[in-house]
Amino acid sequence: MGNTKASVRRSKSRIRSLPQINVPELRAPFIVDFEITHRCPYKCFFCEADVPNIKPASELSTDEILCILKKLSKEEVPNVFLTGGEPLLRSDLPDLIRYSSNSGLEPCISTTILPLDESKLLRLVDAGLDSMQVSIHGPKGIHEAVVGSNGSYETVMNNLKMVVEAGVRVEIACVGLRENIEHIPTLIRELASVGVSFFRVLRYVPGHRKEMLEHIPPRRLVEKCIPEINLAAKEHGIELALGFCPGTEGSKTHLVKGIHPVAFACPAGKTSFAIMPNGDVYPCIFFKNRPEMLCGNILRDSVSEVWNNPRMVVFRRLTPGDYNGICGSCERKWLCYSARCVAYNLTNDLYGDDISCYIAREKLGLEV
Amino acid sequence: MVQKSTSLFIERVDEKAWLFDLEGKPELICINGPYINQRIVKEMYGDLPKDQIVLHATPTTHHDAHWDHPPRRARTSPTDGKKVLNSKGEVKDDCTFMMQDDLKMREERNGLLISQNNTAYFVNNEGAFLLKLIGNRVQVGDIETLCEKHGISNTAGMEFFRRLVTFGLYRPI
Repeated sequence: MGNTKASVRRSKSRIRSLPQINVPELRAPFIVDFEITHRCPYKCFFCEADVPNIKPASELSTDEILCILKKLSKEEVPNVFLTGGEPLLRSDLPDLIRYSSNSGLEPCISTTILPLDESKLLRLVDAGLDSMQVSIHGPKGIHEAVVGSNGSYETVMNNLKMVVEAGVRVEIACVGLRENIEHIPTLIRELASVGVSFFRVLRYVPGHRKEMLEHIPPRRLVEKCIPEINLAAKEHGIELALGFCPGTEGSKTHLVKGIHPVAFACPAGKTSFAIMPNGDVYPCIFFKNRPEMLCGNILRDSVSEVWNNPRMVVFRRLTPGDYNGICGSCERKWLCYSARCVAYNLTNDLYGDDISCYIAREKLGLEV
Repeated sequence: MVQKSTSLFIERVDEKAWLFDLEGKPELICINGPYINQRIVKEMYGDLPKDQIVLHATPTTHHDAHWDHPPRRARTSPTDGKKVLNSKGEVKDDCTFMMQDDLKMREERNGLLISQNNTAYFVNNEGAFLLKLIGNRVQVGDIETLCEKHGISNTAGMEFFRRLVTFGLYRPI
């Protein structure tokens, strides 16, 4: 991890010299991202479940997952996000939802919604599921090309209608890519017809390999499309949240007093960690193929042991003041979701440049 | 009586914005909230010309990948905060506020974590103490009395309360 220790020493020194601290250090995570399976009907090229140099993880049994949920509940972790892969492919999902709901973990799932049927939905709602994030990446042709699943769109839209009618709150998550950005307004209009009320463009994070950088939407195209996306959402009364790579021109965040900039920063190790299907824990899902970032196994270790693993603590204390290079000298760094996974996985420097950022790319002479 | 806030926004976000008072006065700060900033701005100002505030073109207003839950239920609207923060009139001393019933609190080494769905707030020990005094139901006029009685700066106490209302953790009844 290069100069990790030196940076931590610098941070500690700075913290000690002030009557304040940079970020309140929690005693346990606020949100846990739990990948309960890596099985999935989609084959998205950007999916973090499909990363190089990673062995297929064995899946925990129902009892083992319940044991982990019990540990999280005991530590008063408020939120657990059951994801994958496709969590619906686990037949015990209703049991996991029910246990989470009853133990105060506020469960939510991230799903393709493809393997859902009415019976499954009823079981999930009965178990306490009242919200879900559904991945849809464009209108029919675009979505099916991105996820590598011909004929899936119609099923997804039918299932979506069923979910909305059942009263489950849905957020559509669409990864903003070169391939789909211009088609997002069309998608929004189609989603409005089935009653969706919340749409979100996720910033594309090319977190694992350099070839993934090719799918970053060009900055000018993003800037052209943002007003069109806004208009489509406004026309249909859909609430919108947009995320694109830092450096989009004209984007300016007005930070409300009382909101710490860390709320806009990478939460890895600060307020969250990620559990893999076999119980291994990393600061974030984008480090799962980096053994040196493993912080323990939640089945074997306690929440406290994992949360206070020195590797996790490095992330907890990492601030923009630790960045090097272009990110280090960027005037926007104090209010920026600078993806440290991109810096680490693509440049081998946790404190280095986020080369998916338009500002960094421009300075490096890369395509923006 | 609650006075109108001079500004809703941090003027300049730099290294100082990352500092947080652990002690000295009651503090409450949001440390995780993918939507709260956008929602407050929208609730407070509605649609502004795009050259003033670009509500949606904010690459930093979300966390990536699967980090966030969709709002679990109809979120607390900070609209009521207008009465405190942006009203043309005033908030009367006998205006009563109640704590939202969906808050979770977790004791921390240096204070308290308050979570409301997917939004998290950190409160330092002084803030946790004042919060306990305020309780589930309070009249605006009582806050000044509580602060005086317990040696808390009235200004700091009211600012703390203002934040509770801005973020929708308390709302008027």
